Amino acid sequence: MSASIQDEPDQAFCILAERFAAGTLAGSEREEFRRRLRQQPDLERYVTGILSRDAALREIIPIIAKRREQTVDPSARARPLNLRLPLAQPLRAAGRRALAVAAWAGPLAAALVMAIILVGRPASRPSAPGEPLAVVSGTTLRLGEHEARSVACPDGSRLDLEGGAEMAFTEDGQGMHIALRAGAMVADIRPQPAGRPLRIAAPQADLVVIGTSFRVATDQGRTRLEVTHGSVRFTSRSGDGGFLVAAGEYATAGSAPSSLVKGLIHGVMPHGPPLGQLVLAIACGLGTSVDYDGVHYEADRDFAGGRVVPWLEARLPDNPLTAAGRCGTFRYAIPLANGRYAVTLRLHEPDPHPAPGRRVFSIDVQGERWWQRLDIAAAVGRGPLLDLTSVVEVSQGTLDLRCFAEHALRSDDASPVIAAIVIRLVAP
Amino acid sequence: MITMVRDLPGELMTRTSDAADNASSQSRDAVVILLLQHKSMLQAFVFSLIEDWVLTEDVLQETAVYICNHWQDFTPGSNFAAWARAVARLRCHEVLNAELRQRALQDKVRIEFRDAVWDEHVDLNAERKGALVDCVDRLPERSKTILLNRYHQDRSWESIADELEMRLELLYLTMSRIRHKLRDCVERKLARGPA
Repeated sequence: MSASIQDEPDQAFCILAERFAAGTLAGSEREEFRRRLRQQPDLERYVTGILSRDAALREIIPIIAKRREQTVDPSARARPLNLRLPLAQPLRAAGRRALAVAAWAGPLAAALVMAIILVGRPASRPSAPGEPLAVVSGTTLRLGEHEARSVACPDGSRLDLEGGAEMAFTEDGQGMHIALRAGAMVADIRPQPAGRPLRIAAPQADLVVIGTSFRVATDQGRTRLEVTHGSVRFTSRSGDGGFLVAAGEYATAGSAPSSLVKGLIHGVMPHGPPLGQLVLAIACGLGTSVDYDGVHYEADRDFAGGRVVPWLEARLPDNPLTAAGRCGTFRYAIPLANGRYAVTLRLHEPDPHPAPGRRVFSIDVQGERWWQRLDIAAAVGRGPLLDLTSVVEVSQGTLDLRCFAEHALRSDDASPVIAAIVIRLVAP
Repeated sequence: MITMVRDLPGELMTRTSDAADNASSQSRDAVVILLLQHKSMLQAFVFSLIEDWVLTEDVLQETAVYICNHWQDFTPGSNFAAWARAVARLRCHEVLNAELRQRALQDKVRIEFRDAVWDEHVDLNAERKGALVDCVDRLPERSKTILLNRYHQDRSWESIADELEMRLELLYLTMSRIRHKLRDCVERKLARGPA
């Protein structure tokens, strides 16, 4: 373990570093990995930290696994400690190893016994590690900040509660119900009986689950859902409506009206650290700057083509970004210092009677078609924002975005629209 | 004593007699304990050079054997980590020349990290190990399943992703997140001191 706590790099680099640690970097990824290391020498610390932790986990996890086996089988306690060398041994070198080990195992064993004794002290949790807590109707759980707990529902579905989580479980003729009052949990839900979906009530949103895997968290006045498998219906509690959130998508809802957002990520899921430092936010179609949700949006700029459309009917009461937008076939060429940015395009369906399939458009980022056949009405209906986030490399001083209609444009009803652009610096 | 490790060439074998005299006062056990204390760093260092955990184990074993057999070569008070890395680096070069040529991988562009970065690493002492074990215990069960699959059963990330029905990229991000949690948890526990 490294003694110092470093900030996490962006998700793309985290993946590259994990692939490096797994020994599976391919040619172009290797080049990209090297380029990032050259650009940011501090990333070396992050990567060597991963390798050291990987080595530590290779040593520690087999010891923990052994301890778990001994906990499950009390008779195993009587067996002598298995003085397994800290390194796994490939079979092809086994004979050579036996000789080699003989040369140094004596003094090493004494030290290792000491290490195992020190490591092997019992966990603070009284229950057997690895055994989820079976809940019955009426169970309420509240975890400490640094606790974690796995829970098994009566149907075998599993909930992994994270530190600080608080939940209540009930079951009746309508199905299972979970009230997530605080904290976060990762859920792996078995297929539910027809007409009796699992319902999760979070402070700012309700979830209806048929059978899927996801993470739901409530923090800082927001409920956030990230779906990894299947789909979940997510409905705001502040009257903004709801939508289906599919695998690879996320949704957030706040307590205030007009705070429902569905998000799509180009490439990777939105797990992990925030997407970087805010560089620029633009309120498309607005002639003045506005503040929304803690972000200062500048008046519309750096565009070419399209036109401003005021969204009188579609404006959401507490969201100034929905007062107007840029509409038509248009382009943004935003000057930026070279670097890697997370670019979020915030879309809003302005039609008061939206019809899926009518407004279908695509967006090119840096000359590549990154978002294809976007249909806001189909994704979120009218009201919620649809956020699209891409991690973009700017190498020639300009971020280039172009919006195109998929169908021949006959009216504004079918035109591409965009409400705002938010740019965060991931890596210089 | 039988050893399968060939003598390493050059500078490591030609220590000055002063250094050897000083080293002779150092017990072999002390060098072995130093080796244990730097094991994770050394393992990570070797992997960074050859990018293969199985070969890393080979090299590390042989580096350990060499160090145990040549403990007198280490000058007490000098930088053990740097010495051990020098031993490991030479062995890595041998392995790379022999094994990677067979696997037609010698055109792989190697990535070397600066020595100064390795020197900053703090290896696992008993206190850190204890903290890490506690922190792993506190992880959600799904995270523990990932760790056990990977580090106890030696399964590939691809097969773990398949079993958990996750995209591989998502699994990598999840792992990155687990490491982050473990690192923060260990640092917090150590900062708080013994319970």
